[in-house]
Amino acid sequence: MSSNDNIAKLKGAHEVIASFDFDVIPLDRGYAGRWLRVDVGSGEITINPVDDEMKRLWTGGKGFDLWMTFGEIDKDTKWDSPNNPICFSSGPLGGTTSFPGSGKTIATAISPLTHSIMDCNVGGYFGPFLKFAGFDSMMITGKADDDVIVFIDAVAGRVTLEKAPLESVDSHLIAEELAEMYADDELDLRNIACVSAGRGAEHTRMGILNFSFWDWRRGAPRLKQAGRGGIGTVFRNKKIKAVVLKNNQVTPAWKIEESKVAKMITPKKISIQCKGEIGELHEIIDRWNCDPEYVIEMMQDIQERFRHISRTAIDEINRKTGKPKAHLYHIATFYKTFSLEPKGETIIQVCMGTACHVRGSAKILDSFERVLGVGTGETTDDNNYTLEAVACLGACSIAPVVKIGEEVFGNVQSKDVEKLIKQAKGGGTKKKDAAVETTRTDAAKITPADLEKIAGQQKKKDGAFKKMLMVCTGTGCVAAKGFDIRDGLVSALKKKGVSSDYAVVATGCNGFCASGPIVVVQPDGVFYQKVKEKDLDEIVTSLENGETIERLLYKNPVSGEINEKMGDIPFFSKQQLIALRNKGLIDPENIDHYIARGGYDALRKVLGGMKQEDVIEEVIASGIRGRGGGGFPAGVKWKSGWKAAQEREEEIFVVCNADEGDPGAFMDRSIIETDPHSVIEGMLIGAFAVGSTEGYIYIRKEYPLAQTRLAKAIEQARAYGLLGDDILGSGFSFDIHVHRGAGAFVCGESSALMASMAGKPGEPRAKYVHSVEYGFRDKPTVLNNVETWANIPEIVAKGAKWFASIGTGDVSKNPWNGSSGTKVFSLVGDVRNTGLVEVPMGITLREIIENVGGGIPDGREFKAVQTGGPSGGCLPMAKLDMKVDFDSLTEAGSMMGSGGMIVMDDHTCMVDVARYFIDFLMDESCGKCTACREGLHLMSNILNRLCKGDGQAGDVERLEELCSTVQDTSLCQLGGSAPNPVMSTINYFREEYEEHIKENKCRAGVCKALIEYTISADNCTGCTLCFKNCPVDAITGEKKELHVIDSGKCIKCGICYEVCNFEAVEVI
Amino acid sequence: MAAERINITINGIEATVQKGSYLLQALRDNGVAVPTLCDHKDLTPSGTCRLCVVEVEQRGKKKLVTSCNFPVRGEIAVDTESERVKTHRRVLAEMYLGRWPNVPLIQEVAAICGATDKEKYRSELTDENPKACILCTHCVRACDEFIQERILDFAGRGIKRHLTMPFGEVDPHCIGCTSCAYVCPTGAIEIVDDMNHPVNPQKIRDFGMRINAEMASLDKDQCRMREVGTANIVDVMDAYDLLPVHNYKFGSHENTKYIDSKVLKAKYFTQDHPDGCWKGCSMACAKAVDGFELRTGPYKGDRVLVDGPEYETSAAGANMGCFDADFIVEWNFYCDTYGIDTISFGTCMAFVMEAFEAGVITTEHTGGKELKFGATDAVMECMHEIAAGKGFGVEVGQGIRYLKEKWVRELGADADFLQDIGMEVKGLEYSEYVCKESLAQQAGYTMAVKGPQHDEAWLIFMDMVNNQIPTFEDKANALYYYPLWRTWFGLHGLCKLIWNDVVPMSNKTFEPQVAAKVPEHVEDFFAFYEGMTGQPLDEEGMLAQSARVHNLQRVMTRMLGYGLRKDDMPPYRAVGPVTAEEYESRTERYDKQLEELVGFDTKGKTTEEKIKAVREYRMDQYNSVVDAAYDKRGWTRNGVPKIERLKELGIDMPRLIEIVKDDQE
Repeated sequence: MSSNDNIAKLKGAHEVIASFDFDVIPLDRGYAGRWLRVDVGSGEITINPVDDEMKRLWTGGKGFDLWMTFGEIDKDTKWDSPNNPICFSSGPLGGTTSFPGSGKTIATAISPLTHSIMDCNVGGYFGPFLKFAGFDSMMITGKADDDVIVFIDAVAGRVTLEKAPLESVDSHLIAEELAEMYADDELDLRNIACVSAGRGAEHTRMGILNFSFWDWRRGAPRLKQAGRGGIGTVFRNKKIKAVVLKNNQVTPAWKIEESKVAKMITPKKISIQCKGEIGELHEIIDRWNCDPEYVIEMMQDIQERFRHISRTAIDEINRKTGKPKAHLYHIATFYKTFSLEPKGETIIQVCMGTACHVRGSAKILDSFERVLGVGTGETTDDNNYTLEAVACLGACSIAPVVKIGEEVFGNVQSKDVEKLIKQAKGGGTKKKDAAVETTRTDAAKITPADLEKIAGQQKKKDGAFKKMLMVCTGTGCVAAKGFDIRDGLVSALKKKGVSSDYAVVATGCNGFCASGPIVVVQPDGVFYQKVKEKDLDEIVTSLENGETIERLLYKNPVSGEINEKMGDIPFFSKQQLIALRNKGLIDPENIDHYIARGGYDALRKVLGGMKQEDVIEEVIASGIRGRGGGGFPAGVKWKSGWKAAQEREEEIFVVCNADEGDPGAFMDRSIIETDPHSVIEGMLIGAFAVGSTEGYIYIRKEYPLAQTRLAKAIEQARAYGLLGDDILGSGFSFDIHVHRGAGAFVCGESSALMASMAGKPGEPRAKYVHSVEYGFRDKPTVLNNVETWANIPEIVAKGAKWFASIGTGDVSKNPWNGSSGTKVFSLVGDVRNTGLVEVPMGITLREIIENVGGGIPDGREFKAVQTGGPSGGCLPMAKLDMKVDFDSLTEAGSMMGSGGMIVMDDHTCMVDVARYFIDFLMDESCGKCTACREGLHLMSNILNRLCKGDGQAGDVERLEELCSTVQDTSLCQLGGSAPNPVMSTINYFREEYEEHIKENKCRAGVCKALIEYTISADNCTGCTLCFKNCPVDAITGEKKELHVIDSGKCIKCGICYEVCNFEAVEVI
Repeated sequence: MAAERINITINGIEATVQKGSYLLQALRDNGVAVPTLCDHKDLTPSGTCRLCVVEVEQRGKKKLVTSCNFPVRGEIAVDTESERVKTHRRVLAEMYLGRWPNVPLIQEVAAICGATDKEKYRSELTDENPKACILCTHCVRACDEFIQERILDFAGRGIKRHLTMPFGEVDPHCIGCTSCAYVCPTGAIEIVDDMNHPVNPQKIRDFGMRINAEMASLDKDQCRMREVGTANIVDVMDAYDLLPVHNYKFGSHENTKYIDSKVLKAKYFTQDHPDGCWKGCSMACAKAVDGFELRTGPYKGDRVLVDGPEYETSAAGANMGCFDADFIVEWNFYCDTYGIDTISFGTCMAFVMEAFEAGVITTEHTGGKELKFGATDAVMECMHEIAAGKGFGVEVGQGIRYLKEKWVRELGADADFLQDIGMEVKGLEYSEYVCKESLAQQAGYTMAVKGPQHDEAWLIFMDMVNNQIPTFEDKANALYYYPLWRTWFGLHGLCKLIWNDVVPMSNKTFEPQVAAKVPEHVEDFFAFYEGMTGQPLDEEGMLAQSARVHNLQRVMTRMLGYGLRKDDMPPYRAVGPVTAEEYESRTERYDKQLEELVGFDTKGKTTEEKIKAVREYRMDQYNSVVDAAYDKRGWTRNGVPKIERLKELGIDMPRLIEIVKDDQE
């Protein structure tokens, strides 16, 4: 762009020689009925009629040009005679936009090459604009003394002839200069059409005319040429620099029938950003290289910075990336992260994940709404807070969870809400720095032999410490002040002057989240749980004394037995760790720790002489099936991708799906937070096997800690040359890029994920053509999830046989024949030992829930276990002895999914659970296909009315019908499996549905409309606690007397029930 | 290329279908109807309405698939009426009926699916509007596929999905092509193109969209105008020995691969982008190179936007022997910004190079530049000399006719030789096709009133590539019809490329001579005219419109002292081989023609003798075709419009008659 000053200078030098006003008239049947004549010599400007005879005989375009010329010249007119006219015409059909190719202009003059009539046809906007200004044709005749421009302003209705001494002559410059000079603003640039010739036209007989049009996508004028016969030479001979036409702003008159749902999304006030902010927007867009594949990333940064996506933001991204605005708007309204109206300074997110739901998150959300005085999704008037209900924060083991700003709070109760908000006001939301600097700064490209050296050095370093204190800093423990424990330990050691004897290591998730914060003393494996800051000095002292602190040890809640060592605790003892092999043992932010535990050995083995086919065969033989939910044998997928790439000679991508959207599951997050290199190494091996050089990790936006650790791990791997070119000197090259998801559950679906990676809304496509053949960028793409990739190095290191020997079935010949290896589950909900567990395939549900999980707490009864995420099913008591593997779960009407396992006690209403899942899925449906979009909405309507006591006869049958159609006819597996929660609950708990419809009864006491809170006279002691806590003053009663709830006032928030210490508040 | 066919079973009946075709189409081809709401004949399937589900049995496994986007790749048994299919179809239709009960199309399809209960799935989102958008995605696809604009899209997700433009505002960048309204089945979109206030905008739109639909589905397999613009012709011309190489000596070169459309697409042209030079053009052939870093001249080092290269630019490169895409793009840029015609300059430079190599001129005359074929740097030097207005480049810029005269006059050069190899007629340089083997194109070039530019008669493709005008009579007819048909576009502000750079499927059903006219497109353009003016148009009317202007131009040319038969005579290089080198490069072809067409025994003859024989034969042919064409045009043997022809056309004004009266026979 030329500078404004320059343009002003150019314009300032203009001198108007002649000026002529005209009316801009509408066209009729393609004709204006007049033509414009400009004599640049005399300055005479006239309008001449186009009569019916002229139309009848000469039609238009070239016919008009010639006829007008014929009237101007005689037999002695030469190319350089002043009366050699240059004529421009469109034609009666010109300027049409609903018929392709209607924008040509015909230019004519007597040619300096042929000395006879020359005609050229040329593209660009000049001809149509000339018509829209009300002229069928124009003629320029005469010869000017100095360089001039002819400016036809169809907005003002004026033609001027101006001396223009300073403009460039070369067309690419003058076209831009004049566009900027005459356009009102950036959008108006497209309304300027300019005819010019260049310096060369002055010195030859083959000069051309350049007809410009503004290419708004490229932000530059385009030039189309009237090339033949030297009309440009004539133009410059007349000393014309340019003919400029300024057209009226034309925006097509549009109407789209208004839809009911449009109102739900279209912002009431469209926000526009101020000039000063545009620079910042550009900075963000430039940071992502204006790459249209990264528009979602840009929008995330913009959302973070400006708390919303303004119209300006969309305009600027559009301009700089070329991505259509409509697509950007679709993205902005598709992904949950984005907001079209500014969000509050602090965002309060109440997790509505499954574990949180069964632990009462709906009530927590109600309380936030009440206390803040806004609805969910709204922002407080003072712009301080925006309240959001989010799908899952991935901290299910400490449900219910609330995130305020950057801080996560677990085990929240309704009564805590006010306190939490106050705390946030006090600046309690400041982001903690998670990092203790452990990255090696002297890293350089390593050789295979160096791996051993590094491992040895690290082991030696660790061995020099008397003990190592492994502090869990997984998300669960961090929510319970895990970082404070880590920092506290470091200072306690310093205080005692023993910091060189003991190492404090911040590990990823230990898994036993229910016991956080956790400190494990290694090498002995002493397990301290629920550690508080005040315990730290004592721990340090005990290290010196060689004692253990009994009160911090794990006590079995059933037997009362105390376990000193981690391995003795039942939660751990039943587990078999492959994917989680390094959990709690390494610092995830230090690659040397990973290497010391045998990390990258498998990669060395692969690069040390294995053939691609060997690696693929090994993975097939291991029988490992995709841990993301589908259970497709990973090796078979690799082979298809490899074949497709070979056959089509295409590049191939490997992708790691870390878009763990299943509410109730957080194993992928934990694996990355705990052991990111296991995923990177897995991807490296996969990439080698299929011949890929480029990999992508698509990670949920809601996992900032995982993102940080992943970024560090990638950086460290690159520093060692484990990513990049010529890895370990093998000639094999591979690198990994990270994409952040933006809040869409459906992006866990592979084709939707790939669409999202390409910078599009996450809409799946039909899989009749597999994405392994035509995936990301339509190239072969091998996609596996985090857990699958994390297993790969172990499979390669220990062999397929070893892996296949774990689990069910015989997978050695056919990977579909059973389920090999282990599976990580997030064991959450109404179970004592919530956390992350890895167990061999084929273990029973009962073993997981009762032995590993320690059974149901608070003396309640087991009711159901939900597996497979929102599209999974609820299995009743009768299924507890079922083996847990891919096929058994599917057979029972549920599925493996990514491994969420939510235990539900008898306080759980199964109709409400079904409603919860369907509402979740309805919200997450992309809306592309009718079955899922309409079907889930209708199912949600029915389920919600059941929960409100408005059930109708036939509702269960209608649900069954909808389930069947949605299941069978949905485009993707989100819809295909969405009915599972409804079908499985109808199947196993039909009587609860019937009760809701016929008796208006919710036996679990969950459905608000069907229950009432009362206070039992037998148990009430008149302690006044409920009275004090009731937020709506619905409770009355004197001290030491029976309290009473006014059911008219009661909002059923449940706080009285929560706070009563005497079980006097009852639900009926 | 015959498509592979496979056997499938449809509702128990055997059928064969084209392998890889979509099942819905295969079913329709076999007379089996399946209801659908989102399918559109001109758009790629979206598979969103789900109504077209059918049950497919493959390798013993039954599954439901949406037939619209299910490719038939193996043997299958299809059941379109199983209970399962019928139930789902009904339930889906009930969902539609619950949401949009008053949309006629929904009612119609629901009735087919056995769904009648409007109340069953009524909800708070039920929309009573009979013109409601039903999310069929036609418009979104048409905006993308017809016109590549992507102005329209959905917003929101899940049940909140709705059609909109950003923020519910009209996007000012919408070009108003109206494709969306054309494909909308419910009338939810209203937009009319009425800048011209046509009599019948709907008619214009309907016929325009017929072409847009072809562009969306056929261009990628035909000319690939959207991908590479006219540059696609480089590859074709080289393959047919018609690409000018070394001043039109030859028609192909082994190095064409360095400048062909594949290279331009892979390394230069921006892809996936609407590149029309006017709004609403679905052909969008105005390709451009973005961010090209210049290596020479005053803008050296600048990153610039280059329009093109088009076919002529690359071909002119070949003509100069410069098979270097970087050079072509740079040269293209400077020609444009300096305002120099790539064609005249390229052809003139090719002539200069041949003259240089033949020793007519030396470095003494060129300012020290070794202007041999392929001298890319020297060509760029000449370009910059033109801009500066000094040096040999300026002379090149005066054109071939000027140089011929000067060299004969000042250097005593062989005038006949220069006349033979200087590719100009009337003073205008030839554009970039080798027309030696195409009599139609030879005459098309030379008889063009303004000079040898193919926009008046681009017959080479139909003559040489498509072989649609094989006989002498066909060619003579073509020299009457096509210049007038092509003139017609120039009368109306239209681009000719739309006419036959994409051809509709119907074209296969016509005889070659008829197919060359692309009858369906002629119908489209006539309908366009009628929609605009309200006046019907037929071939006769079209020819009359054009002939008036064509004859006016010829008469004006005559007035200026030209426009006679002598002005329509080609340099021999345009007709046949001038040099032994040229003859011997295609000996087999020329010998064969001499034997078969002339009856000339080539045995024992020298190349010079053979060249002479070819020349006699070809010039005779040329003169015959000119005679025939003049006749058809109503011109005298000397190429002047007859007065009766002017009368017939109603343009026998005294001033015109005065000009031609002395030339009448």
